[in-house]
Amino acid sequence: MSEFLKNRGGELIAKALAGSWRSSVGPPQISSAELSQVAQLLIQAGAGALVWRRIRGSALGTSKVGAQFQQAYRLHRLEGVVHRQKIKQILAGLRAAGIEPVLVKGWSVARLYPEAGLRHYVDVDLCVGGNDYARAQQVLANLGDDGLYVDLHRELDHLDLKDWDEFVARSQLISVDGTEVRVPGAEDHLRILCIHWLRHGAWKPAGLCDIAVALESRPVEFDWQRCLGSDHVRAGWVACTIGLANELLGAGSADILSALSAQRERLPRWLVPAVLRQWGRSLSPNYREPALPALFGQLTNGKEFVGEFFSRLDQPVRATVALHGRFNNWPRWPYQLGELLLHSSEGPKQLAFMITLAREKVSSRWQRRGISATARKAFTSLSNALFSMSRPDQKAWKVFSKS
Amino acid sequence: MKRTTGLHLPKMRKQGLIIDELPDEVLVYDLDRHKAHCLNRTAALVWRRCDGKTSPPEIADRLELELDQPFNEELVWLALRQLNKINLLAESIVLQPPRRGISRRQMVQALGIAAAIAAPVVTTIISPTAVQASTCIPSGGSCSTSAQCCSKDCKTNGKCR
Repeated sequence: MSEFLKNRGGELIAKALAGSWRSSVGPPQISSAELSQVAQLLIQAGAGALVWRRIRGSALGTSKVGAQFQQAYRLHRLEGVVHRQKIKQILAGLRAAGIEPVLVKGWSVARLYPEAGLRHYVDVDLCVGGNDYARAQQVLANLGDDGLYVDLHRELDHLDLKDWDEFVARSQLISVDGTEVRVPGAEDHLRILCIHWLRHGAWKPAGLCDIAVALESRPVEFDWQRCLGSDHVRAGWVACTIGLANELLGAGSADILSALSAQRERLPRWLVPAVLRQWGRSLSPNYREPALPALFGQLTNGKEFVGEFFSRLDQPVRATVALHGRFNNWPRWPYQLGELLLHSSEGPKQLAFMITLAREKVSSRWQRRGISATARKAFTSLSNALFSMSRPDQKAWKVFSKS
Repeated sequence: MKRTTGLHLPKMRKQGLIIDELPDEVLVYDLDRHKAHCLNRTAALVWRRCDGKTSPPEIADRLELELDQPFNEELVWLALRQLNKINLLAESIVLQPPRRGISRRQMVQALGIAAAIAAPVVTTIISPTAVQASTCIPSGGSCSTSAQCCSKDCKTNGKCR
């Protein structure tokens, strides 16, 4: 990663995206060269179309870097049309089986943006009642490829702690091209968006734009108490996320911050820099499985190796949320250490991956250097043995990790 | 499978496409080939009039009437050649060969000036895709860390192996 991105990438991303979800917004105060530096990060993080919206009427819009953002916007537009069609097909299938799902994130937040195509889609998050879950799985399996597109949740699953019946009672029906879609109530949805974003390490700047648009389009009768919930720790997370949206993207207003003052005295000192560091990396912290093996390629470069290793450990937001910690000014390293221990059972899987990579690398090098077939065979047998020992599906390891 | 007809009666393909109309352009996603295309206004105007019953000169006449501006038949042919290439016509048509001794770019420029209307341009949309839940950056894509690459190897030039 370049020093520039490491130091200023996150800050420039915040500048480029500030206010981008609003119906009226001017071009960012950022030079073409600066925008070029963060263009890849923005596009890869799904925020390219939002930037295009800001620059399209300006000189930046006609620049070379502007063309990249325009392409991202065009792709997101088409993605949106495909996504809406899929939602309709999936809902029709589920409703035919008498199942009424609630659509969270994705289109239910995309509809709040002033125009289509500003948001990137991954999958369709649907929540169904506990009694309907097995049947819903069956319906999705019968839908073929479209069914694979769904992230099905049994009630609210890990998304929220709210009571399912209460959540459904407060949900609302919205029309998508003539099809009724059930989406969460505004309070529940804002809370889910905030906690989901934090749980994933706050790495996606577009996720904070989702929170900003949900915040600014909340209804007049929005109930902050309901949004924050009764759990003080989670209420603090939500309040801090809204504070971050304000601090980094200029979302919300002073009255919102004062409404949340009881939950959020001020943002902890480490929070803003941690989020900006994460944005500057645009490295999804969700891929833990290849995290260590990916370091293998950096073994020959000590400085790079240390930097890469640190970037994998430097997840204070995700670690705090994983361990249900408070967002305060206390050091984050205990949480980060705790999270590492929490995922220690993944170690063997990563080791297996590393062995595979090492085997491939050494084998091809030996082949090039004309090392004898016998030596190569011996090495392969040895690494195979190591690989099978380290596989996490080995019974012995399962017993060990459970104990 | 597409068949070639000897007639110059182009027909717009409708099956397996997702179409999104923007004020200045039309976006098309080909569900069969998983490719996205962008048609500028002129290309889209021609495409919309490919009903399998109207010949290119007739398309040019109709557009001239509708737009109240000269619409050269060459523009129609230029659009058809591009639409045909990216499979947006239901049937391949026998295309009029381009004028000899003149490049496509020169023709676009000449037509654009002569016709006082933008020459038809059809582009395939290529963009670095957003990082998804289960995807990684393919070989040659820009990366900042190895974990981003499908190959798990981000080279020192910032590209995935």
